[in-house]
Amino acid sequence: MITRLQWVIISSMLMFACNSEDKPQPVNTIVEPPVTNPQAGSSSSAGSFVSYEHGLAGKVLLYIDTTNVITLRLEQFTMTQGPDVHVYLSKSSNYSAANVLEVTKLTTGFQGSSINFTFHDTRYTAAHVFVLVYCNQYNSLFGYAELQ
Amino acid sequence: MRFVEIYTICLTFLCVSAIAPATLAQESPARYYEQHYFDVAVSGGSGKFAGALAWNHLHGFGKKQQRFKAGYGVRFTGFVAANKYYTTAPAKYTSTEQNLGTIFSKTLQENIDTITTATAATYSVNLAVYLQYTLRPRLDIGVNIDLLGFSFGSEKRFNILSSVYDAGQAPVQQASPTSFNLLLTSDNDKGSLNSEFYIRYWLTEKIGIRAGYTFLFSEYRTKQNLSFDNGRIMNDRYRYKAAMALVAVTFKPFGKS
Repeated sequence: MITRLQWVIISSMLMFACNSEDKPQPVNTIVEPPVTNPQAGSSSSAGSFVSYEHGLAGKVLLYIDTTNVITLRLEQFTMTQGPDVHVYLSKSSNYSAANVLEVTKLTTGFQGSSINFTFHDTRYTAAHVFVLVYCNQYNSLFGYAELQ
Repeated sequence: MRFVEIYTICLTFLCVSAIAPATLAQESPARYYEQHYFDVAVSGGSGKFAGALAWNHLHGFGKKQQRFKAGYGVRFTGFVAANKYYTTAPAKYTSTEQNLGTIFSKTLQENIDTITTATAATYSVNLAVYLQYTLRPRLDIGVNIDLLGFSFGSEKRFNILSSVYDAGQAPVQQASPTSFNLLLTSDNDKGSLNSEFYIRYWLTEKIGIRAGYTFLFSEYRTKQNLSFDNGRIMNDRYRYKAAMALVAVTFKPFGKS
C-alpha cells in the first residue's frame, strides 16, 4: 500500500524526470572523425565512463593545443536522452558548481556516437581531470570519466 | 529561518510543559476514554508531501472548562520529496554549541555539505506530545511534536554536491533513513521527527478539521562515513527540514469537543 501511494506521489512530482524513459526519444548516431595531427606541444588524456544513470557508456579523450584550445571527444558514446543534461570538466568526480567548467549541453540521446567539442576557457587548470555527464534539473550524475 | 527557530523554541517549551500537566490531570473530572483523538493529516509544499496517521490522548486540566489540554500519542508519518537537498545533520558540525543553545547559535556554513536524491521517502513511527487550548467551544489551537521512535524506508542513491568532497570516494552514495529518532532540540535531534502547529474547528461533536503548519525533519544515513575537506569532516547523517501547509481531519469517537 505504501509503495503504491509513494509511487503515485513521486510520479506526479517527476513527470518529466531524468530517468523517465516512457516516450520515444531522439537518438544521435553521429560519428565525427577523430582529432588528427595534434600540434607539437599539445597534450592529451583519456578515460572511460563509469555509469550511474541513463545507460551512459563510452570513452572520452581530451586534447589541449599550444593555444589552450580544448577539444573534448566522446567516443562510442551512448546515453538515453534526459532533460537539462550537461557535460562538464571537473576537479572532482562529484558535481559541485564550484568545481566544474561547462563543455556543452546534450539535448538528445546517443548511440555509439563519436563527437568533438572544441572550446576555450581561461579557468581550465590541470586539476580538471574528470568529465561529468550531469542532469542539472534533477541533480543526477549520469556518470563520470577520469582522464589519465 | 528566524520563523523556524521561533517555532522550534515554542515547541520545545510546550514539549517540556506538556509532561507535568498531563500527570496532574489524572485527577480531572474528564473521563479517560472521552479524550481519545484519531487524526489523519496531509501536508504539502513545493515538491514535498507528508501524510500522518495519529492517535493521541489529551488530559484536560482546570476545574471547570478544562480549556488547556496536554497529552501524548503515537504518530506514523510518511514523507516523500522530489529533488531535495539534504545537508549535514550533526550539531557538532552545524552549530557552535551542542546543547539547548544550539537553537540560538550561529550556523557554521563552512561545515555544511549537501547531498541530493531524486526521490526521498522516509517513514517514521514516533511517540509524540500534544498541547491544546480551546479558544471557543468549537475552536482549538494546538501544537505537537514527535519525541522518539523509529524510521524506515528503502535505500536511495544520493549525489554528493559538496565542493570539498575528498578524492577516492564514489560521487554517488547509498543511504537509508536513520533508524532511531530522538528529539533533543534543533540540530541536536536525531532521525525523522514531525511537528505541527494548528487551529481546529469541530464540525460536529466527533469530527473536526484542522489547518496549520507542519515542520519536520527527514534524515538519511549514508552506508559509509563520507569525508570532506581533507578528512576534517567525517559524517554519515544528512537532514532535510521541510516546512509545509497542513490540513487534517480529527475523529473523536467517545467524547465531546
